[in-house]
Amino acid sequence: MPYLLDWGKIKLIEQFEQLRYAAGEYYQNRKLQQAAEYFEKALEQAEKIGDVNLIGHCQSSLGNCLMQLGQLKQALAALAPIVKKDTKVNDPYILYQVLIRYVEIAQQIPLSLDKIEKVYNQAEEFLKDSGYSKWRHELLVFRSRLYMFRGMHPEALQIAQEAWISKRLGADSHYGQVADYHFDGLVSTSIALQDANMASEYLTQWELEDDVMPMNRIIRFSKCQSELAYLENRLDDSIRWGRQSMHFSEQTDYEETKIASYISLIRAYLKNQQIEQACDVILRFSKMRHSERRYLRYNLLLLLGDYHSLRGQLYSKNDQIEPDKALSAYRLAKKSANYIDNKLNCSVWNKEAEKRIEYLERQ
Amino acid sequence: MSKLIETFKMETNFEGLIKLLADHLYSEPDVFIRELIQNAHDAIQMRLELEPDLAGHIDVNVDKRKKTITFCDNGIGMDKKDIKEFLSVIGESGKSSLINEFKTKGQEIALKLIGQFGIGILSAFVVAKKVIVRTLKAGIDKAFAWHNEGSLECDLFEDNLNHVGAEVTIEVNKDFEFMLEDERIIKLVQKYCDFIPFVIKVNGKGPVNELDVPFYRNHWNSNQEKESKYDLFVYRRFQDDIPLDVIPVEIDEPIKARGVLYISHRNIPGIYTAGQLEIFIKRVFIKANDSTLLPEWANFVRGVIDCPHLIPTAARDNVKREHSSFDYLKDKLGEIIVQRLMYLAENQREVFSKINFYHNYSLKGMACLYDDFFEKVGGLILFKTNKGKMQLRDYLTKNEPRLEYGKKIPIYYFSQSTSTSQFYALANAKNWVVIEASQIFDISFLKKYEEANSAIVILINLDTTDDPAIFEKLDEERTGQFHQLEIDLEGHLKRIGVNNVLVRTRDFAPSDIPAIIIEEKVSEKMRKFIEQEYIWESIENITDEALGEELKHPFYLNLNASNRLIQELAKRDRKDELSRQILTGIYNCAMIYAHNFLTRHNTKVIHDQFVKLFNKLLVSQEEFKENQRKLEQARRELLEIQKKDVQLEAQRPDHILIFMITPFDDKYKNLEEALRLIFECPPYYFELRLARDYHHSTNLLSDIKIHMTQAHAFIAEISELNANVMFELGAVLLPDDHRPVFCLRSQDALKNVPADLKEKLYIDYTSLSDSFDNLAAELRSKFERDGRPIHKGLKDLLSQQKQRYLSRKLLENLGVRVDNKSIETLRSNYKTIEELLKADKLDVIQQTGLKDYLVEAMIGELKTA
Repeated sequence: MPYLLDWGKIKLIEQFEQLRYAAGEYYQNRKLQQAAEYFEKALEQAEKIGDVNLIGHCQSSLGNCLMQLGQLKQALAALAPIVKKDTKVNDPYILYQVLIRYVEIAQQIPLSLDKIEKVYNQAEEFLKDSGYSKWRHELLVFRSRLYMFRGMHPEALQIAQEAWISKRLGADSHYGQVADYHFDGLVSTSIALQDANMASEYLTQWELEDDVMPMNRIIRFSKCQSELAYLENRLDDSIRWGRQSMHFSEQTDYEETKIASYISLIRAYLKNQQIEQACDVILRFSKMRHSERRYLRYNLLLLLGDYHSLRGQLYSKNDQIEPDKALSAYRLAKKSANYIDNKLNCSVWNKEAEKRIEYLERQ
Repeated sequence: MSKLIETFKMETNFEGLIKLLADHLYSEPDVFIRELIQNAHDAIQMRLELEPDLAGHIDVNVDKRKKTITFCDNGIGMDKKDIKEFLSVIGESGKSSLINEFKTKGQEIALKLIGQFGIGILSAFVVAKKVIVRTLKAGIDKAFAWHNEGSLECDLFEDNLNHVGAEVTIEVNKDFEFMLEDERIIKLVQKYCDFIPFVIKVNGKGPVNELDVPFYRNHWNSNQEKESKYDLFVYRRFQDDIPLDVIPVEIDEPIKARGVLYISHRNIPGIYTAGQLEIFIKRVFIKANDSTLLPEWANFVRGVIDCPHLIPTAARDNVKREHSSFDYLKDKLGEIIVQRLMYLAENQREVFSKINFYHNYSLKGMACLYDDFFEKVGGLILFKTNKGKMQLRDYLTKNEPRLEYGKKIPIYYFSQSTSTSQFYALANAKNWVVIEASQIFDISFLKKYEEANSAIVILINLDTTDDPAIFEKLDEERTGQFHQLEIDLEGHLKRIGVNNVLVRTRDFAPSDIPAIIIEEKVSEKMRKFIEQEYIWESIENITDEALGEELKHPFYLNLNASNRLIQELAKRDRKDELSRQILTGIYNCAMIYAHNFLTRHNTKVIHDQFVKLFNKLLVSQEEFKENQRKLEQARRELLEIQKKDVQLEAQRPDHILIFMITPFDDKYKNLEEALRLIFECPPYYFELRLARDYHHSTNLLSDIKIHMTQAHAFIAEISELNANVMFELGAVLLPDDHRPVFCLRSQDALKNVPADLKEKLYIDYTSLSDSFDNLAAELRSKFERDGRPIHKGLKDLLSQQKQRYLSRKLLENLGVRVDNKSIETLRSNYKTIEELLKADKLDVIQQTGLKDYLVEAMIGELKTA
């Protein structure tokens, strides 16, 4: 019997590939909203084709886009069908990506430490069982971040370094863009440890790194430069880099980098006593989605407190309004901080807020 | 094939069989009434074929003494052959063959004859110990009597019955003697044979049956007559119900059916409750409360149907459903109801609206369940809207198509009747028509409607809306204006225990609403997600925790940026108690407006706030009263002071008088002269008076008091802190009546200024021993700069625009030289320059003895001063 081509299916696959390509293009340019829309359309096509792995790929990518847009719960909803009891997805990379997203989302909210640990360990086991330990570097980035969140900076650095080496040694070149995440982690951890030299070294290495996602890289790189300059008290540099990072991040709709840029720039402005400029960036920050993520709410409130406190010092020394506003922001920040500390079983976040509250109350 | 052993006949215990049939075929013992009256009816119908003008009648007589019930008719009667054929063969009525014969001949009577099984007489044996049938057939002169005691053997006698017809007497056995009551028999006759078209009397009373049944009539004089007869019939027959609408049933082809349906006012308890009918076949009652003949969706319909084409069961207490006529009739009844509803929707909106009111639930539920009903009446069913009740087809003409939804027509709805005020207000402000879809099936119905009309209609739920067409987002600048208010309000609500409210600011109409509560949208995806099962427990844990918050259903408090209260609140500092109360109040108002969100906790919060507010109101009222009282007192005191001021003012001269408080010592002479030179000359023209200049009274203290009262300002020399000076200064300062006080102090003064005076500014000068010129120049420089007074007190004095004092110093310093004597004369006659200028020149010349040119020059100089 002659082999018959199924022209209808071929047409569907062609359409699917076009949609997936468009979605991928948007994703590369960090136009995540459009990317998500195209992944949804591609998902519909994949469902018509009936290929479970194509469906899984689209669901995973859609979940990733939504997560990066800061829509964490929607992201979970998009990922859910892949991990349903009757799932037929058998592509290990898709399953691994879903696990990683769960770790990331759980960290971003954050959820309870034991639950994060549990899903993290599940991912570790999955890698071991499936034999794909070359992907482990990505998981290690999140482990390092978790240590950072818990104030365990030396441990965080150690894991970040391990992750980077692991990536260098074994990772597929296809997943090269992950280098930016690694360097971002390495520099941020070095800065948290107040080690300017180490941060500077990683930045130099990073600059030499060839990458396929220049936009993402510029944003993260500038943000890290701004943080380093801040640490070294080069405020003009810190502002210049921070502005660059903000400028580029606002061309995209990737929430995480945008917010990181805002935070470093607001800090630099406030330290440089540029009240109006700081206010402008705080407004931009406050318009982001922070209801689902406590860290962001905490950072926003803390910076808001700093802003009012500075205003009080500069403009209205005899007036109690600004210090009161600052105090109220710090108190709210402390509440968020307590929540995070409680969830992550540590006592790191509330200290900053507490310190500021004490200072203001002494005044 | 197996081998045959024996063939034999089955034996029948005939008496037992009769008993068995009688006892078990009929579910009720009273059905013999139906059977015997029906036999009578058939007999009359057959006689009518021969004698069309016959007035048929049936008499039922109850004899309690003899314990008999007799059914007497003037039907065709029976001869010997008929008796044997109809009464003595069980299962063969003879009538069914007659009916078939009539049918083949196309005679109408075929539809009129009821009996067909030949077992009707059996029913009598349920209650009878003996049945006697006496009969005389039309056209025959011999009457017969048939006697049967419920056995195989029956006796036939000749009889003397003297009228054509039959008389069936039942001797009731002991167990059923309770039936020998007129009223009971009447009720039973009405139950089973109400529609029999011949007069039925019970013990001579009657007719007890309904002879004027409208649906058996073929002719009406007018529609009105028809309607009223039908209405009357329904009212009489269904006395415990109130028909909302009466629907005649007249079906002729291909089967015949007559009857009446009505829409009940009774609340239908569930959508699976069916409509109910009384079924008659050929005017004889078969079944009450049948729930199968009406379409399933017609649960709000009741009525009576008589269809000769329905097939009764042998016991005649039900009809066979597996029959084409049953299905046809069912569909046809559905069609009649739908047509009637459509007619009412078009022509009798009030009735239709009433039906919707009573059966909203059923109509919508039925439309959701049954596509055929939905297709036919979907667009007609009424919905509650902000513009009154409205059919969906009319509704679609009310709202503007939405461009962003591909020009589809929006159907706006909300799901909680308790949010009506809120959503109606929003919709009215936008001139939208919005549906209150709070009743069960409303939303399902609307969704089905949207699905059926997806090309033109879009369903928009306002419960969770953040539709920019209603809630316009603020621009960046205005977002900033309200941002802190949002944070404060959210924080404040958390402090009072309201944790699930997110505050955001939007512009929306009407502007008099400060805030509105809107549910947070839980997407369909999320709903499905919540019900997922996972392959890894760890992921399930994450899901549970991540969505824990989601399941709490937080909601938004939308502040209205167009509302004045919100604008004011955004501007003011919100730390005071009143602001906090207002913040709570805004939340409470929104809660009350959409009170479906009221929880036990919310009501407590609202309650507590009201109580607090009432207390505060009472306290405020008390404070207000107290303040009013104080204000009134202060006002009185002020009036008093003003009065005094007026009095004092009246005592004061027309020119500015400065009273100088200074020790009486020559060493102050230079200072005094220097001050006179400054103040008594241009630009001031004030009078500088010392106590010694003028004596009002011989009493020193009263004299000083009068001086002080008259003065517009004071100069006090405090270098030595002279007791008199300090005493007088104290007296001047204490009333604090805004009269300027200039304290002078020499730099070489030894004594410190007392603490109480330190707050008062004082003017220092070098030394009392300084020369007059130096003192004058120095003091002038303290009061003036570039010839303009700089001291506020001086400016105030000048602003009073009083007359100018005609001082000695002024006159001495004129360009025209005037001798001392003339100066004294002038000053004794004229207090001020204005008085002098007004005076007659001749008088001045006469008084002073000055040459006229000198007076001329002096006045000229004073005029230009």
